[in-house]
Amino acid sequence: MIEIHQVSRLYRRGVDEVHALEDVSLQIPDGTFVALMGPSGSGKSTLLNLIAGLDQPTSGVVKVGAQNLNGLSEDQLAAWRAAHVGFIFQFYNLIPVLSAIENVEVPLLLTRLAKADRRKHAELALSIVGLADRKHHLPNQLSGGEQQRVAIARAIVVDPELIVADEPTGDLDAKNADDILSLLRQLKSEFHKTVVMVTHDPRAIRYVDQTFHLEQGVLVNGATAVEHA
Amino acid sequence: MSTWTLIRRNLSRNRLRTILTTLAIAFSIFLVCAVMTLPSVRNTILERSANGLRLVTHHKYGVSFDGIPLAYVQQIRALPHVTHVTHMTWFGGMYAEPKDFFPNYAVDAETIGEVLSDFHIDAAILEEFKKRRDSALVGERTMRKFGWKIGQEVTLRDSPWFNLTLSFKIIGEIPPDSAMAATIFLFPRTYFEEALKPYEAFGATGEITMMMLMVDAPENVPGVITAIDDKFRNSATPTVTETQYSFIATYLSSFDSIIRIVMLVGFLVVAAIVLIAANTAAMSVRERIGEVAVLKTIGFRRRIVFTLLLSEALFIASIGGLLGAGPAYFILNAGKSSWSPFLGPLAMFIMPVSVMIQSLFLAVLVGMLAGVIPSRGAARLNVATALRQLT
Repeated sequence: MIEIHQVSRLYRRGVDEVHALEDVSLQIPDGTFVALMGPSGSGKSTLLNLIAGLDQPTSGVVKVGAQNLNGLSEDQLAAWRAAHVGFIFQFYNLIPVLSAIENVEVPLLLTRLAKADRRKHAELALSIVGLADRKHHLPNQLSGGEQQRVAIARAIVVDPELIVADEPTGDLDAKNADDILSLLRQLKSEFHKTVVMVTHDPRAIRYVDQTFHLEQGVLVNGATAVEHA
Repeated sequence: MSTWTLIRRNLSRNRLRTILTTLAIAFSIFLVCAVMTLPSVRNTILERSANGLRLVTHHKYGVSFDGIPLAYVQQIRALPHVTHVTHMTWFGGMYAEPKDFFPNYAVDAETIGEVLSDFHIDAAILEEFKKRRDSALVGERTMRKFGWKIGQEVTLRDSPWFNLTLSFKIIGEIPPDSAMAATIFLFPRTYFEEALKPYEAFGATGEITMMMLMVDAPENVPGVITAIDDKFRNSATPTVTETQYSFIATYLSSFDSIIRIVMLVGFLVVAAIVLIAANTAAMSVRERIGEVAVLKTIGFRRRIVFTLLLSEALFIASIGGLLGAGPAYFILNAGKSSWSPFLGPLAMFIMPVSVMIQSLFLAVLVGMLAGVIPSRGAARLNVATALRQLT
């Protein structure tokens, strides 16, 4: 369960104060696929960063599972992210000089796994996203959709409970966007992952369990449950 | 994949830049090795030239101040424990350009072989040297420098002695067994005196630049030195007698300030390379700031990011250090090998292992200085801010 309780995030830009989030409270049950939606500057990426332990709230409580993220040091947050969170970005952010399988292995460098075991885990993750036969390709030899699949494999390789995705379909065509959303849905349904996604993509509504709408840093509708056919 | 693979792949990202940076460090470390070995050149010259039983007598105020009377030679020859005496007079002629300097002396053909026995001049050639008035014996390095051959006639011009110009026939080559022998040009004094005859009225003859003498045993060296200098102390031309080692060391010490300047320039080059390498490291990190943000996002802690990035700079610097110090060690120690004739002045260098170790440490220090600031900056990157820049 992800619990956000009366969270505010204030940024200072010179003498100005920017209220990125104001008094947001929400709960996301384990094993659900949720979308954070809203216009640019509404605070959805800020909320995602707080859930993922990349940022700290100015006030309020962020709790993911048993872990209260408030007050953790930068190194403690890094260790927590390495073990519990998988990340997917809009522009894939793969390391261009590493092959697909090597990119997937990168998070495993932080584990105690032996080299051979790291390779096995990475191969399994790549097979889950359907790219086992492209494992030796460099990112620039893969299509956008394939690169995003590699990024998803990298996100799931350490078997985290939580996967956060920031505009994962923002740089993809309709076909690939649908494939990626299906894959994220599959992670939720088959592997019981909690998936939190920031998106502008209206197609996403068909795949997620709930959406949260934000405007100007405020949660405007609470949770909207989505019924799937 | 291992952490090492990640470092290696990052280094191969821009191969040309990595290679050029490595070579820049290698070149600077080679230079540092040569510069740090410079003082050894002086020691090499001393070791190869000086003989403990050989003394040099010259004017009290230095060889360049004035000459000493030729008549001193007989007086010194008569002193106890002195076995051989010869004399040399600076001619100072030029062959081609003034920059092509080499030492040329008028010498006593009868006695030069006795005192400079370590020049290993062939006995038959020495006999011919005594007989032929315009003959010349030339050091191997000077022969090679000008492409001279045995039997060739050469002319030395513009001597400070009344602008004398003299022609010689080369009859022998002096083996490069000592630094002094390798470059020297010797010809009989009788020929020099003939040329000076027209200037006799000006007091041009009867003077020599220095005497070289041999003492029978090391324990008699201090006594002979005292005896010679005491003998001429109150004369119009007082002398200073010293061991050849001390004489050459005094002469070479005049180059100490130049050596210090060269060393300073060498270290400034290293400082410049540090700045270049630091700029390269900073550029490399700046280009990958997005990737660094991703690494931090997925859980790489500050210390790991710092170590990864610094390792790249250290690796480049270490390879550069090895590429610089390794060849430097072999080249600067090849003076005693068969490569010696091809090394020119580098043959005079002797690079100790300690200099190689110090240079390698210096290379690592270069990597550390170059990499630490950009690596620290990247490690302290605020992930949330960096990620916002990615989107």
